[in-house]
Amino acid sequence: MPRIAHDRRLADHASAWVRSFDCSHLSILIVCRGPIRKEAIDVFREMGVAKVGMLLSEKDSVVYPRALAPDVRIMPPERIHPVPDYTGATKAERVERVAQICAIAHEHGYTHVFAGYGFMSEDADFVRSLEKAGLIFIGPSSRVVEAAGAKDEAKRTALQVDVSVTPGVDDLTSRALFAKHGSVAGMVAAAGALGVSADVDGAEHLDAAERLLQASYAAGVDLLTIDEIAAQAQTEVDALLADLPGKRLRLKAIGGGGGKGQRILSAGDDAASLYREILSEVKATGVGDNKNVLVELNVEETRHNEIQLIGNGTWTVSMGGRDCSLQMHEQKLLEVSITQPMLTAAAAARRAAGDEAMAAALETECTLVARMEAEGERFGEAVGLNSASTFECIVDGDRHYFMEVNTRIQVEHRVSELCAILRFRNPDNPEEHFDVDSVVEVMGLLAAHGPRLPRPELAPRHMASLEARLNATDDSLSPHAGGEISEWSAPIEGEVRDDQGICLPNPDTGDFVPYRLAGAYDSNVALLLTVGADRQASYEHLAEVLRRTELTGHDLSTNIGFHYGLVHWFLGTDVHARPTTRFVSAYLVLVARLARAAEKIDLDTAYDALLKAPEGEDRKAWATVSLMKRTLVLRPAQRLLDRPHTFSAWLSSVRRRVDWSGDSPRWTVNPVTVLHGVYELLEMLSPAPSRPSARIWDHDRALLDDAMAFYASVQAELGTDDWATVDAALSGASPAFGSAEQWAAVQGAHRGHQAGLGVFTLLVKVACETGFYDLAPAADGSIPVPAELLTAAAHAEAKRTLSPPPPQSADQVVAVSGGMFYAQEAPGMPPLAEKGQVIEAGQPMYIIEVMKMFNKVKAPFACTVDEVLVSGDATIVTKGQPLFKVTPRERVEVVDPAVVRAAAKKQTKEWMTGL
Amino acid sequence: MPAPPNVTNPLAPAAPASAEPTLYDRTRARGDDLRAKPKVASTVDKRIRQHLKGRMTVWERIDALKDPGTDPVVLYQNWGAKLDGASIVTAVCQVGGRPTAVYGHDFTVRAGSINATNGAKLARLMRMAAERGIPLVGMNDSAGAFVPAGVGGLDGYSEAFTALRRISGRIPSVMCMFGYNAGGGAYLPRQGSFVIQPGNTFFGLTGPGVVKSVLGEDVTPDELGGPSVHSQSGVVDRTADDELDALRQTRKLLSYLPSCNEHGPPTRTTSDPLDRKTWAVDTLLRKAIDSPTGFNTPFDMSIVIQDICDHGEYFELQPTRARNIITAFGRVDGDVVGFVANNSAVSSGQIDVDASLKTARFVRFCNIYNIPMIFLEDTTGFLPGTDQERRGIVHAGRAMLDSIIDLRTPRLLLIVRNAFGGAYCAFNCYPTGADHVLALPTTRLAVMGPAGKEFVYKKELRAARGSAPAKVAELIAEGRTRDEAEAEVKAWLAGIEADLGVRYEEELMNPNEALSLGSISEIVQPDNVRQALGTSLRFHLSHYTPGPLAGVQREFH
Repeated sequence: MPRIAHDRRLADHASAWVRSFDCSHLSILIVCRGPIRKEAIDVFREMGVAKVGMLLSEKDSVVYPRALAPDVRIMPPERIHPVPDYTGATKAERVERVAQICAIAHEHGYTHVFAGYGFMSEDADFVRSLEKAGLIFIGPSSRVVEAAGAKDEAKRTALQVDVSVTPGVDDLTSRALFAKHGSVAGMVAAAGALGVSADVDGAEHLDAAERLLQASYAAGVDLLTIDEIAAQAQTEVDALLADLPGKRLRLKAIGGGGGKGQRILSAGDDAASLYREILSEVKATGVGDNKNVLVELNVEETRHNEIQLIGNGTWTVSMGGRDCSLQMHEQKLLEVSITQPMLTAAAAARRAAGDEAMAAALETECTLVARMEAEGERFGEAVGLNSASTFECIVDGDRHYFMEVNTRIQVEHRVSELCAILRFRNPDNPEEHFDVDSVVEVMGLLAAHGPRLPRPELAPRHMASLEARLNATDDSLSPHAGGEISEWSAPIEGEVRDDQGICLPNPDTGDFVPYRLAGAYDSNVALLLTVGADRQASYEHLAEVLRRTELTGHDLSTNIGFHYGLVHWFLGTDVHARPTTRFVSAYLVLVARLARAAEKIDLDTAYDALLKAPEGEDRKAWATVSLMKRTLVLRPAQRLLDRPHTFSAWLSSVRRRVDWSGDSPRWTVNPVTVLHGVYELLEMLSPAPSRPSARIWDHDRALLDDAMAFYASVQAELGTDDWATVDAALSGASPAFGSAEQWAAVQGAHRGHQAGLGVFTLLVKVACETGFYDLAPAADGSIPVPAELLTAAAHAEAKRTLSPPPPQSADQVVAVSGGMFYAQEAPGMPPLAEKGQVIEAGQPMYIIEVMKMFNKVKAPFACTVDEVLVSGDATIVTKGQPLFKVTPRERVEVVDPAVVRAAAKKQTKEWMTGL
Repeated sequence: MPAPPNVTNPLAPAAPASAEPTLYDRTRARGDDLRAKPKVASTVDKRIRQHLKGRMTVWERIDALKDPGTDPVVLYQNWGAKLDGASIVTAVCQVGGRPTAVYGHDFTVRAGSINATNGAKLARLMRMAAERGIPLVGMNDSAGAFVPAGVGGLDGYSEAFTALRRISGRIPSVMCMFGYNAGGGAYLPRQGSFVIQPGNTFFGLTGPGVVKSVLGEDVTPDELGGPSVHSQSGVVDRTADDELDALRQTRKLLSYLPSCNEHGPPTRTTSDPLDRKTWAVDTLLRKAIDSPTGFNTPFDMSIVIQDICDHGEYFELQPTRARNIITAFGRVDGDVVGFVANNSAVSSGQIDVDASLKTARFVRFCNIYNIPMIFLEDTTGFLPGTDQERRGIVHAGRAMLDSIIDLRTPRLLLIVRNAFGGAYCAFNCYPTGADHVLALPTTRLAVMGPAGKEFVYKKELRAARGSAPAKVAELIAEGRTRDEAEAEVKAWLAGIEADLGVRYEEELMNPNEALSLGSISEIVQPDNVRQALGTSLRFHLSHYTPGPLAGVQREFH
């Protein structure tokens, strides 16, 4: 079990040097939310910090019933500080919030502030405000945030310290300014006319332009219009495309994050309008805002690798790397550790097994990681990194390109800390040392004692680690809000679960406290991590965690099934296969095809066809067997068909147990073992006396046990467990063992136990026809993705298939009750829904005042308002009266379930004749 | 001819030959057979059919209901001519650490039907539970009367109905509706205290088949008697996702109830301090009242209940019906409390027929079982209109009012915001017998809502409106057109009315008059609600002796 919670206090250490790094004098205010908040509360308390406080926003307490932040349960009320929200919707609100945070800190005696990885964590202004208020930010200083956080600045630094960067242009605005005025003097004069000046002595023209621009940002003045920069963007794009024929470019806002503010363009696209879109998206259109945008080569086959760095302002050390290529819509889903020790060992193991292609690929990967780690450390030292940050790169084959530095702790930080221990040795007495195994802990230490901390060594911890982000999403990985968790089984041995405190029980009753996933912020619910002696072990353990987790509730939809399928995909192919960032959406297309195929399978038809008494045989015997085995076979099969991601997991788990060489697929193992395997995969075999309907029925268990025992005896008698041999022996007319009288019963048992299992053969056959097994790694571990899985149309179709159909949509929105209709919330405010406006589902659309209560009514579905049908304001309306004529965004096609079932019966019959 | 298929293990080691059984051995073996008979009567193929419908057997349901590691004591195991228990299992199980009477139809034995004798068996269990003062849980899954049993089956039902009524008010009961129950099987459970129905189940007078042939109505079982139907009429108190969820909810609900009417509900020491500040209530009200719609902004009252209760836990009854009133159990400083709270987030918090009936039932239950109550008031009144009158709002409102007057357990009122007219009178104010009435400073207590300004400022309004034509003439004389003048005067009048409205709200729609008359005992600040209510509750509870109801039987409801 990885050691997570333990005493971290240094105040009682034998060594005075170690004691000098004690952090109990800190008082820390945590201003973020999410799993990092509870982790930080726990770690800081374990470090012996004097007091730990947190903010609590209205959305985490009063806006949604039964959605009170769970970490409140472990905090004394006087350490919980209510705020309207953790950040601000507008710039003005943000400024207000920062002031409020400083005020709370002063009023309650907090000396330090921790911002996790959320809203305020990469905001240089925020850090500066804290610094000005005399508070210490547990994170990089504002200077570092600016140097490393702004993408263009970071790129320049990277170039200076010989870090590999993507070809492109990082000084678009400087070029635009110079293009506008033609000379340094011209620029200086124009700037001066607007009251902006900077020291440009000896600077070459683009550098001078940059200095003037920086001065203009400080002064809150625009030296360029958006149109002028947009025009320059077009010029630069045209020039780059001329140099890189056939390639695509990526425009990136310097202040974006999490995928925001980026656009891809090809030759012929309108760069100017894309530039404007980007600026709007990252809200950089204000006067005096830095409107620079990077223009870069778009690396197509990208893998996303990152290096965990820590530094104290003088040294920077890498803690190892993470591969985060398994992502969708720029949101990471599954993160894997990549460290030199693990990759070296893996390469050696593959070579020993005779797999030279993979051994070479792993060695290449190892070299790549070494290079990225070295570059990361150089970069960190160049900017004087004085806390934790992540050095992010994109990898294409054996080349890597620096992308950006995230000057904060990241969600997936545990992946790295589980693989490395930071050992701080007393430089004067190397015997004295202390170990740190938490990034949060080291951030605290760096904030308190940074400059004094010596450069740490890396001591080994676990060889490999893996993290799955458990999100409240539906089968298409789109957010699904509103569900309520009512039960979550305890973590199993070796499961690290960062769950924000959701699993903290009611202290009085010990019962689980139901928690509503209101969807007020992002869809992340928890983080699940496992470790292993190698990557294979860490994947196997995560599969086991997911298998045994019972997470249930009302209207609950999470991606636990998705992760199960994904983990099994790699276990079924190669855990060292290297997916690109396009893998997940391609994989989802395949899962969607499985869902579609599942609709065409009618299990009853298939089963009845298989259990039909052959011509001339005893009908009664067959009817009995048919009844006895019906739930045994069909119950797990139906579960697979109902859950496409679980279906995917099963298909991957049996990948190597099917022989495709004949006309029809054949199992290479005993189908009874396959059946047993399905029950295990669905976690229906382990005892749970208080949940009988979640487990195999008792009579089915008895049958399955009999079948397994029977074949065990047969194998013992025949002296082999090779299925083909056993099957042939049992099908022979003369007894292969035992007496002739017994042989009839033995043969009968063989036929009986095999009967109906063709259902699983059907499942595999139908799945194969969808092309599910065509997605596979090549010999060198790369994963070629069929082009048809990469199109936008395929992705849209997959989403439509896997996402539940939208609620009723119509051409009108009618009044939910009688009362007084108001178009706006209060006099003087703009109307909530005007002609031409695009409304999202759940967005407030109008007010109905009944009995003096002004009820905000939300739109039932996404639509565009064509016409407002109510004239005037403060009009009495009746229930059901049409208020708006609308065009719904998605038209629901109503499918008659009876028709679908009939089609499935027909199709299944056809398939069964083929098998 | 190939061997016929079987699903045994012919290679299993044969059982060792045992010695010839003696007379005593044979007698003991008969005893084993008898003990096993109820489970053996449920043959494998019948269990398979039950499972194929996605339902558990009665034994599996008992396993899910009882405390892990305990064994049920099955009573009258071999009841009935076939010595198999007559397709009803009656037992005493440990649920939440307390002995609890449990019955369940065994659908795998003659479809759980009631015949001449097993109605009597059920009645015996119920009488025993009442005598011993333990709660009752029913897991109903019956096809109804066993037709071949004839009138005997009907008598069986009557015996069961009667027994269940005779124990009503003595012990609480929770009825789960599994499977398809029609006729008697649908009536019997509603005589219990609470009914829980999971999805994919049906109960009703008759099934869709009979409905189709008698009335020509074409409906699905779910449309006729599924949880979505019954939860709206109040026939069902809670819906569940599936059988396991229903049984889990049963356990949760039982933890709030006493074993019988002689005691109060089980107390539980809590680690949640009584003096914890209720900041969520403060923030909720601040957000609502400082929003553009001011005092007329709806908000979800369940957040107030959550903030008052120990560790925020509460259990709502009828959460999907008439949620303009919330009825819920919660704990305050370890004691179970019945909450009744107006909820302005749904239908503006008005009290209508469904809300009144929902409240009346809940209050009566708390009255019988010694459960103290806290009322949270925020309603602008009873809902007017033809629909309500036709459904008998007077009748229903009266039922609610009567239930509150009859309430003998400690009861507190916290006025949160609106308390107008008749609703104030009915909702546990001092004259109705409240023990303590507290109010937040956001209280607006008045005979009428804001429209009352028409009455209070009759003179001023009449004067202003009367002077309007003269003003119009004046403005025309000054050079405006008629339209302009009328618009200007209209705006001026609207301003007067708005000012008077503000004046009305400030002068009359506040707690002052109520405080001076003693209708409100004291003001409580929103962040202090838990401590104030909890302290008062502790005081009044300490002077209340739990026991059965006694006294005059009042009329109707």
